[in-house]
Amino acid sequence: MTTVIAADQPLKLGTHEFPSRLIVGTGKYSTYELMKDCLTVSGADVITVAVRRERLIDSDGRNILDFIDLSRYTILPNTAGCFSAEDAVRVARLGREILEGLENPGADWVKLEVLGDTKTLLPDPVATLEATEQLVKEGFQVLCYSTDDPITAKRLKEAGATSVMPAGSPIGSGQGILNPNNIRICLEYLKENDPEYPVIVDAGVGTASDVSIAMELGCDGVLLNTGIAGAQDPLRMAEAMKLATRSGRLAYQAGRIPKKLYATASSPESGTISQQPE
Amino acid sequence: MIFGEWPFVDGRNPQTYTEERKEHSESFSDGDGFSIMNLASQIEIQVNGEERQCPASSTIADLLSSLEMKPKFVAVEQNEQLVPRAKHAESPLNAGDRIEIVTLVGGG
Repeated sequence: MTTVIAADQPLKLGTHEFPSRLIVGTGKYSTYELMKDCLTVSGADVITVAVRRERLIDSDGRNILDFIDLSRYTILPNTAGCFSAEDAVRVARLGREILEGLENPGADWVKLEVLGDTKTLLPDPVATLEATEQLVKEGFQVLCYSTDDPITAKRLKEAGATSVMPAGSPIGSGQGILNPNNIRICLEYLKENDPEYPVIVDAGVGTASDVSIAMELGCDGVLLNTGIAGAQDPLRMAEAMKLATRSGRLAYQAGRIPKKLYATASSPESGTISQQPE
Repeated sequence: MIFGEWPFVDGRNPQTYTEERKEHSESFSDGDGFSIMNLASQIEIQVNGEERQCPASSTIADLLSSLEMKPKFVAVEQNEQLVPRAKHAESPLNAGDRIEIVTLVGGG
């Protein structure tokens, strides 16, 4: 007889539901073949892609779409590389156009990134808010890449964002969750009277423990790319990230013990044969 | 070689150009060869930031096929306005148009 832990709820993002709480990017892999294997190992159901100019010459004829099982994955197109609300809206429309043609369920949403500068790649909160309002009007389910500022997060939710996705630390920096307290406050504000509202840590995750920390804080999911693609052994890291998402989630649901300054013995204090110090 | 530059100067498969020429020759060739058409009915447009020439009466669909792009994998903007796939064949190119042809690539 085996003891079974109740199955987890699916990750709910607007009208979408997924068994996996890990969302992975498709960038920076040395080959499409490696990318494909890492996606499989990660167990992700949602994968992000970027929208870029098609090469007019010297294209080797290989498109990333030839390596993605469109019946398996929901594609989440991003607006990475946009520095104005107008450009982000244009890119979101272009992504939707491609995914509609491919009949992928990801045609109705977008990962909105409106960046402030190229050095930090931190989001421009004002432009992100403007673009969110416009895209919501156009019927998009908007997943907003944001700073970890709780007030910005609140404003994005009020503007109709399907999910707010605070950065753990700058994109690709691998610094992990720099300010867990801000993520805590984001969670508290965004989930107030709306516990189902999804919050996803997006960006900065460097290794498995970073993912677990995000999940243990109570985030609904984690979105990462470089942490896997840039690892020395991306396949092993894909597995590590999958397990970390699961264990962080379980630990959150299980409810951790409070931190205390002094020790509490695990073994009975009475009945010892040795004399206790004063 | 003048044919090699028709209709888009990008060194792509001449076979496609041949088919394109046949198609267009029916509609606006004078039946006397391609040189007149070549000189008289070319327009300048910008595709993904590069200057290009194309036949005056061509459409977005013609442009995509001359570039050998799978229409399913791309989305097209004409002067910053999205042109839905269903409208490619009925959207004429005009001199000075700024065309963006995008696809999906790896990203986070």
